[in-house]
Amino acid sequence: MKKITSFLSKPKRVALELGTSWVKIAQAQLLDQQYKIVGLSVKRMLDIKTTLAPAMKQWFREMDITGNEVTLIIPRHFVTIKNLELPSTDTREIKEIIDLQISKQTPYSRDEIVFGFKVLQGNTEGYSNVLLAIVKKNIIEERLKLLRELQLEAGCIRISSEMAYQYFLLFSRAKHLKESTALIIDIDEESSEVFVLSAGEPVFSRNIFIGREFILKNPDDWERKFSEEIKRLFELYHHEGHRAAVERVLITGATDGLADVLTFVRLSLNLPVEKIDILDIPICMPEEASSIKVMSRSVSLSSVIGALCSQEKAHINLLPREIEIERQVKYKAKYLTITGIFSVAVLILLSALLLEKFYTKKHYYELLHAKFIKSETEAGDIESIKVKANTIRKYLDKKNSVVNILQELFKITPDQIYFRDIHYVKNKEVILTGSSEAMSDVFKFVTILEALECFENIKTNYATKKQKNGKDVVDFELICPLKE
Amino acid sequence: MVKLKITKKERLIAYVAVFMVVAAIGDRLFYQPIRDKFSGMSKKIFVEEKKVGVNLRNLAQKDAILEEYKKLSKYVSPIGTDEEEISRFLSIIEETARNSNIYMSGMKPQPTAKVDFYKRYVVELEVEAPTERLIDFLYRLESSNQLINIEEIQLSTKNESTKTLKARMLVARILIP
Repeated sequence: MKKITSFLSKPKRVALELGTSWVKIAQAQLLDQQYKIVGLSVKRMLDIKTTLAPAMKQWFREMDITGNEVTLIIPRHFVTIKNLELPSTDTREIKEIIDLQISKQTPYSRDEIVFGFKVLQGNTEGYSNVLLAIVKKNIIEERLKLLRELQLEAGCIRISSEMAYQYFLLFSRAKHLKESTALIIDIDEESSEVFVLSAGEPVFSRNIFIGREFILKNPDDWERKFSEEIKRLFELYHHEGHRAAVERVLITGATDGLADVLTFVRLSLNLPVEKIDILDIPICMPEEASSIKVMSRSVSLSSVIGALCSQEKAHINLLPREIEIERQVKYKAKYLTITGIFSVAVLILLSALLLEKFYTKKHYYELLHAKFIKSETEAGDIESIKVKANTIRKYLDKKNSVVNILQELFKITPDQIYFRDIHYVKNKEVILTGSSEAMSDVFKFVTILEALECFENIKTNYATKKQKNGKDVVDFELICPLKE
Repeated sequence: MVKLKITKKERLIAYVAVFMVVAAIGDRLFYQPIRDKFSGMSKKIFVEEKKVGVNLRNLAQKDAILEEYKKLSKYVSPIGTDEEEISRFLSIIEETARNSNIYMSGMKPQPTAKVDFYKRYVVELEVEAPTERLIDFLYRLESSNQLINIEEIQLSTKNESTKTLKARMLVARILIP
């Protein structure tokens, strides 16, 4: 029943971010062609007293989370992101190049990592700028194991930075970011994600271990440390070959009560600074958003909201290849099974229709046959009587009898025509052989014969002139078929 | 493992080929046998409908047919042995020839034929007579109360000076039991 109601209800999405000290869960539902947050919850790991799996099971139940697929988000600090310039513009080729060279990009072996990449725009001729993301496989596996215990599957595994970027795209004022280069600081409780958007694309991303907690706990020291980190990030940004100068700064995440940070950043970087509050994005917010406001005071919710509500396509998926293959095989098997069942059902239906049609015909034939058998005895007798009567009538019919034919012939034959031989075959023909004085007499006679009702298509077999006793004589043979 | 790289066109050709093979197999294994079965049944129904139609028509015309047959029943009689019937036929011919005053130079019975439900006796005759008498002979034969027909006749003049005709003919008589 639950399955039926969930099938009938509007589609939902779930995103789960498992960090070092926080777990963030969000659920969104498709309402008016836009996914809107319908459930959101964050918990500190330290507050979970039991093991993680049963606690989360309970948590999911409380949040009424349905479905069996979630978007798993890996926090940025677990991921190594590298900017590469590769000598190809073909995505398939780029994938092959990365596949070959991945072991050179990390100290770990090929089997110990999972990687994904995104091709950036603005490539030089024949080359592509690629953002390569590498994460240790055990980090992914730990989370997948937890999901398995929760009887869930990871639909895809995303990086928090990319999801935070998608979150920015939801922000209506983000449109102007496409034309400028902006530094974005997403403040979380323990750390902050910093990335640079250039021409609307994330081109640089780092994680700094200065979060809301550090700022609040170190009111005297955080400015120096923050300043150092930002300086180091700018150096790295330029070192990686990015030339575009940062024009503005956007600060989001757990910013509530951190007015000092905004002022400090504005003054230290001498750039316009904007704060983006989570509630500035009403497009994906539920009507009652006060609980979200409370939650957003402690942690950044950018990645989970971005993962659920964005309509932009994410590029980096860190789902291990073997799981993807396994899933594809499962999907294909399921698809084949459904296709098979459907085909068999169609075949059965068609066969049933054909059988029904055939048996209707057969039944009709049997009815006819029964009717025939019933009438055959009496009708057969009548038929034989009819045949006998017809035979007698045929014999009695003197229409083309020899007497009639001869009488007709003798009546119409002119004196110039002399018969030597008359050959009559009943119901077939009369062959007339004879002679005449002139050829014209023969043909005149043919015309006379044709006028008779008993003959049709008269043929002159021959009409030859001869000398007989010093006189010209025309010998002829006429074939006169009898009319039926 | 070597992975085959095939172009879109090759893939399309492969799909078309597979489709055609499947269609051919389907045609041979399913479509044709089913079609044959259906057309066979349709033919049987057609024949049966015709047969039932003929029967119903006969039953509807029963009275008219019996009435007609009653008028012709004088031509139906029990048949004796072939020898008896042939000699009876020959005597009819001889008597008719006598009455018509013609000369029969030959009379040769042909083998008896059983045709469907009746028997057919044929006699080959050779006669010589003037035209009028010959015509009279033929007329008498055909208008007797027997089912007698002249099947074939060859008339020729004996010589140009006389009016005597020479005729060779096949005379048939049928007997319906």
